[in-house]
Amino acid sequence: MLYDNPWLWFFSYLGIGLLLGTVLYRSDFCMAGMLRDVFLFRDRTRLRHLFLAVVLTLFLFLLVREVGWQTFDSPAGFSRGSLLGVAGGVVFGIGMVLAGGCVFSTLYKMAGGNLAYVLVFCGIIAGSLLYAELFPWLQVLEQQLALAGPAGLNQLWPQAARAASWLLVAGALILFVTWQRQDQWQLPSASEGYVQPWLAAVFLAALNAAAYLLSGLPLGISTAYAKLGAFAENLLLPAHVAQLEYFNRSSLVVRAGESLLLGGAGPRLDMVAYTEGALLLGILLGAFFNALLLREFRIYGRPPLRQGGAAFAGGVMLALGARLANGCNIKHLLGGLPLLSFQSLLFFGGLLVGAWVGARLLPRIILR
Amino acid sequence: MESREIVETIDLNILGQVCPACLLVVLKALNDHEERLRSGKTRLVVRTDHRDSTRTVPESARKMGYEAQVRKVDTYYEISIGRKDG
Repeated sequence: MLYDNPWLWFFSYLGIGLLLGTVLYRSDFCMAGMLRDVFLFRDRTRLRHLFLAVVLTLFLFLLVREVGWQTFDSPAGFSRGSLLGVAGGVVFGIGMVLAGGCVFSTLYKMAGGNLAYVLVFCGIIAGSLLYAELFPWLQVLEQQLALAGPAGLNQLWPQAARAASWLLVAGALILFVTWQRQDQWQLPSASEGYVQPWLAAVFLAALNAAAYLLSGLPLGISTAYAKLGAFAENLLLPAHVAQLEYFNRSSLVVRAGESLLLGGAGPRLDMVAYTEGALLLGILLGAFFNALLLREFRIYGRPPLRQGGAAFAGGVMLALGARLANGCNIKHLLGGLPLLSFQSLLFFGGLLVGAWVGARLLPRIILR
Repeated sequence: MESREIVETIDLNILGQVCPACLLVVLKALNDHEERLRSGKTRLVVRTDHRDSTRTVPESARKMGYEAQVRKVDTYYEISIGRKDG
């Protein structure tokens, strides 16, 4: 069976990552910034590009399911909602403002040579390892705070959810045409080789749909950070890693024909490594090559102490938030929202609150 | 006798800083040096490697009534902000 070959998965996701790294770097498509700027600078300019990415993904996911290439019945990778997901969203929202990026933008900014984002990267890995220690206790809490019922609107009211999705797409289309007439899509930028954010949103949606078509799962990446951390910790404390429950469980299931391919955060080569790990590597390499091509790669030294501290703490919070909510902003905003998952709606609500709190905190930290 | 106005510059190096600290730091500098910048005898020259700053910094400066120019220098961008003439 072709799909049983892990290298097929690896190179498919590596290719998606290389394209994403190119587009994200050139457009500086920072989802954290898009949400943060609404609260910090009252600037909603880039929010419409995020909205475009979400609605276009919804449209493509709908199309894939209408054609019959994926089914409406189960939003794979999304469990029923838990109030812990709201807390995860809040923590993630504060973290992304302090870190100045999310799990995607950290990669392409780090690939350009910015050491502050190396600190965010290390923070995300440290936060993932901290979560692994707290996992048994947090699992109990998650179950206590779990909501009864199905995982999403598509399961609760399938026909109504389907109709509402198409209506939303139609309504958004009218809005998009209005913005086009008002010339609100194009952003003026003096940076070399700039890719307009609307085009980046189209790429993101198309590549996400490609991943969904391939695996039945929208793009995700945060477990790859946990896996990297597990590999590193395993070098130093193998006995300890071996007895951690979080590193021994599977969190990713891909149906490939008759067989199920599993993956988790543990230090082994499995589906998380071949999909999320390949995506992480692809984004890093794609952004790095573009930074070289545009003659922009350079390491300028360490950031001011307060910024460095905020960046690392933000990274830790990104990881904790993502783990508490069973996914990051990419998985929930560009995957769960278009699939109408309750878990993602809860995360998004928490994320907005977190971004608001973060926007209140950041100037006090940076400008003091 | 020829009279030539001497323009001094305030250098602001924010290379390698975290987003959105870049914009926050520039806005603070614009406020701190407002009198000198508005007089037309001083320009604020910002050095940044943050690509989106080439959009956000000039846009914010223009909204505050300044004139802003961006150029690429070596591996970074230089944004020069000063009084808007006319």
